[in-house]
Amino acid sequence: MLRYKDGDVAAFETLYRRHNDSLYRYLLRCCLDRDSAEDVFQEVWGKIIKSRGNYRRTAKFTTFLYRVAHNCFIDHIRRNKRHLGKTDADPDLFANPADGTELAAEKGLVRDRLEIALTTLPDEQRDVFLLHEEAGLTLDNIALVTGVNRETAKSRLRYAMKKLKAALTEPAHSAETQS
Amino acid sequence: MNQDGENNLRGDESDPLISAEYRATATERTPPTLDAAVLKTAAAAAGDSGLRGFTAFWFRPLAFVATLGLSLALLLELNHSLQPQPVISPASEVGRSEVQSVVADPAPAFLGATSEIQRSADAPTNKASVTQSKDPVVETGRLKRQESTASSAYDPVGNVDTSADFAEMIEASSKQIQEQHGVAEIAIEGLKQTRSDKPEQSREVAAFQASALLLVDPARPCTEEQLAVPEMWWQCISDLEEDGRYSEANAELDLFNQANPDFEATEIYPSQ
Repeated sequence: MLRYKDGDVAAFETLYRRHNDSLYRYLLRCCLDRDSAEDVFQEVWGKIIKSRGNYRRTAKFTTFLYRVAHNCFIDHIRRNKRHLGKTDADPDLFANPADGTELAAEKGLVRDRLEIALTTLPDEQRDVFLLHEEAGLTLDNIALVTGVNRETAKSRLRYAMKKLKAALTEPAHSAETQS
Repeated sequence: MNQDGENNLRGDESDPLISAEYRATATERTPPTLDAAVLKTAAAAAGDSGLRGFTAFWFRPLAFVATLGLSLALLLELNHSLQPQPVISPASEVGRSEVQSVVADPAPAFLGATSEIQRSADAPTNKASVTQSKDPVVETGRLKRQESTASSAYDPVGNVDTSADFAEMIEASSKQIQEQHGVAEIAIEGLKQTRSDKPEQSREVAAFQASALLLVDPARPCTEEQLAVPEMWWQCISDLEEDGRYSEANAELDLFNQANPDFEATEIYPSQ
């Protein structure tokens, strides 16, 4: 980022390639809408690009990136109010077009259960889970990104893990809970 | 999950099964159009940033060079303005004008008031002779004084490069001007007192005025000792007349009458 600050576009591309997919997945599962995710994705990188002049190396870039992404997502929710219908999210939203029909069918069961469980998680727990899985942030950094203390972040992650585990191991119970 | 994340999470917060299932599920990739759009934006911003960086990189050196250039130009301009005559001629010219204003101005007032000798004398001629004597000796002496003043203020050899030399020159010149100005003011003050309603002016004041006038123009024909004693001054004037130096004698007579208005001239001036 510091090299890009000095005008090195190649450095930015390297940085972008390192984080673009995980950030995209994070936003996709936060927004539950592909168009919104892409909008927020562009907004996040636009802010990163704009703020390059003021960038200071006070934390990991990943923490900085996901903090921006988290704030953009919150702003997006406030702006659009589209997040209310989260339980109506289409399971095919996360389908990879490259997957074949059979493989998709095999993956489908596990994926559907996990995705449905993810969408049923409270926003805060899903956010913490995604920051942990996609960004690979520590509890301290998750707390920093979400603006809560470490214990709260830890508690949210624990609940999220517990619910997801329950959804995977007890799909029937999860389906009942969902209905 | 990275190593930090693993180390940071304990117990219920970390579940390898969930993580593995999630990683197997979450395989979406950023659409290429989105990548292209973001990278294009970044490249465009970097272009502007590069231009700004170039400007920022050269701004300080350019500012430094500009400041240096302006300072140098100012210094050269200062040197150029101090090198020629202004240091020399203003000093001598001011001094001369001061002498003229001090000596010449009050003379007409006294010419009509004091003595018969004065009445018979030609006032404009006297004034001219006092201020601009045609006598070659006096003129030579005056020129020599001006030259000495000039040489003390300005070195014609050319050792005037440094600002210290200029500062000394300016200081010397200003001192001379101040001295001349001070003497002239003293003389003017004395003459003003004389002009006022105090006909019984003391001899001490007259002597002081005489010495002040002597300081103004030390190349006069009468010496300082003669000027100090009215009788000797009078004798000097009569000697000048005997030598045929009438213009100088008239000039001295004017000054004598100014300094000694109560002096009885007829006692020792047989020509009257």
